[in-house]
Amino acid sequence: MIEIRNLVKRYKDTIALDHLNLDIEEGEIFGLLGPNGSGKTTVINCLLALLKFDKGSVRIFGEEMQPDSYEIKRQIGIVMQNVAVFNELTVYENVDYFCGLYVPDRRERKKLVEEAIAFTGLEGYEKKRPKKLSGGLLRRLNIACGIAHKPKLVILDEPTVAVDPQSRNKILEGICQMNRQGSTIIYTSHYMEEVEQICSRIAILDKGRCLALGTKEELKNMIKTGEKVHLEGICLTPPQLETIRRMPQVFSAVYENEMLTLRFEGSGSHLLGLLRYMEEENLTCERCFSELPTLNDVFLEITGKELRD
Amino acid sequence: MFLIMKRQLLVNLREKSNIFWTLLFPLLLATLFHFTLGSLLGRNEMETLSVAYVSENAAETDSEAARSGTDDFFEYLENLNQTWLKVRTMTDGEARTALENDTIQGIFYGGSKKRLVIGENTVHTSILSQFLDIYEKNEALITRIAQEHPEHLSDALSALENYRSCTRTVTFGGKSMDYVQNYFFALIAMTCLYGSFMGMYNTVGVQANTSALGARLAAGCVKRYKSITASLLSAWLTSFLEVVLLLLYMDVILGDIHLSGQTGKILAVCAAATFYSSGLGMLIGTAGRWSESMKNAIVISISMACSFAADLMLSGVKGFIEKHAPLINRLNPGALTTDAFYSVLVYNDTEKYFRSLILLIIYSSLLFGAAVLFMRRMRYESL
Repeated sequence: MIEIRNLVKRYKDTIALDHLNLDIEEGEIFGLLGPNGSGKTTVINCLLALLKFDKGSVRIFGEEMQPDSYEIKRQIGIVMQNVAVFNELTVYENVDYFCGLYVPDRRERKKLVEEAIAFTGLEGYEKKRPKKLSGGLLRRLNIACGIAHKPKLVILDEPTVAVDPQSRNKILEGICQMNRQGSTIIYTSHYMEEVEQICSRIAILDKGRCLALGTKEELKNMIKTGEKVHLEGICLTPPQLETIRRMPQVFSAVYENEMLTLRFEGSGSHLLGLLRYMEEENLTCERCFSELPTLNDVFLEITGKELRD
Repeated sequence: MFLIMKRQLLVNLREKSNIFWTLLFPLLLATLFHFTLGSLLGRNEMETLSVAYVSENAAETDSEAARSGTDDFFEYLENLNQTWLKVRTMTDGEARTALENDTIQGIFYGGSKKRLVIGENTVHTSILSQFLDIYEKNEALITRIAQEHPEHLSDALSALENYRSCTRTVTFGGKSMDYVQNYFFALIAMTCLYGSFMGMYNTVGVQANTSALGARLAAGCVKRYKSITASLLSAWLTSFLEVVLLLLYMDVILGDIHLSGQTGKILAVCAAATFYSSGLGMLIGTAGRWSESMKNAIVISISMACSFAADLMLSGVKGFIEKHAPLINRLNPGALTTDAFYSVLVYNDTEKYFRSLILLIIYSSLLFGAAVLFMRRMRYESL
């Protein structure tokens, strides 16, 4: 559905996109994950033909994307990072206006506007002006304006920034629902939990380059760090600690103040094997918990820095 | 395109601060001007003077007989100006009664000993006595020439007849030529110039590099020329509507200007002036990567400077500029607007009116063309 080839964008001496290649398939929720300034919004702006780029090509629905590719644009819904609504119009008028840019027929539009309002949970707020809405509701209005015309491709650029957890969940549920209804979604965020929660494939960007691409499982398998197990209140003898260190796939074992932290390589859970060994050795612990690797671990291992600023 | 225009009009009309500065503020100023300057209006208005002419047969009681006795002096008076001097022949008795009743301001007596009798109200004494003085001086002059240089008599007579054509440059078709009225004209010019706010805001709203709304519109499927046209038309229509409301308020409610018979010409100049402002606003809105508040400041500065130079704050500025740097007045949309108003409502100076109107249209086209050159960009270096 979308092919980005060797995309290069420079802002004077800064390289915003460095020979970026991406393929986005129809029907997927594709996540663009990266810290602030990694080039996520630049990719979106190049994709929408709003931004000049120095090199490369962008094809959407099999055609070269140009500023005057109005037929392609007709099938795209865009939800900007900054809320883009008219403060002087009511919720209904805003959604109606933006939907009207794509759907001229009034009767058809009325139905779509009502559906978009219901979809984003804005019923009861139709006559309110944006200034009267909370941050979360405003974000939902921003989404309603972008998706009311039921586009085939929806691009959401950090739609949950500064949104309360309740509204965030509502937004994420809505995105999954849109995808189930047939829309392909491109979702940019620097919140790894969100991307992990909803995206079927993820590209991790940093300094305008795609560092890793795949499903979340594939991404996690790419790194050396796997499961992390913490055992608190455990008494180990040096030979027992050495045995644990020699267990398969143990990457590191740190034992301090009766607390053991184990890092495993590769995917999957190793907790069961460890508990079996403890049973054999009659070892007990006060508390035990396991952490599977996150996308932050992936990012950390690839770039040597945290995903969040 | 009409959907964008309709919505933009609605947005313009609902934007409170915009409406305050571009409509309510001029209405308030007009009201203020009305109460502070209104009493000065018409201070130079020439009142029609009614005078009686009594011929040499002053003793006649029959007015028909009195009328038959008119002479050159009567003809001279009648030819002076029929708009503000009305001369009626009367008998001496009729004239005195009329003077006592204040229905006339003076009595001219013809014959060999011409004289003037005026009423108790002496406001017009000097004007009426001037008529008599000029006649007597001319009569003495002609008599002397006839005696001393009879061969030049015809030249002298024709020179006296041509006197009027040398002094008359334009017809005086308005009700007054009061400088106070220029404040009201300048206020209308300022309101026209305030149309640049609408032009600027609307432009910012349709460009991807100036606002999120613009980015959303540019990413959509609306053709660029449609969004540009809708932006200009909505800005222009809003500001034109506001100026029309101000004109109606000043004409119908306050009565400080009188559009009667000239409405078409006045609306044409207002349409051109608001079109100019919308174009200017669009150009400021699209040029440079300044913030919206910076662009706002630029619009205010230009509007106020042009209004000042058009006599809004101080009467005589425009005249001073006209004397020392007339080109500025030809470039200033405020001065061009007030000139056009003055040409229509005070003088019947169609040449000056059309010059102002055409210049406004030319400048508007240039501004609009320059704005479109910037706005037609569809891809930006940065957003």
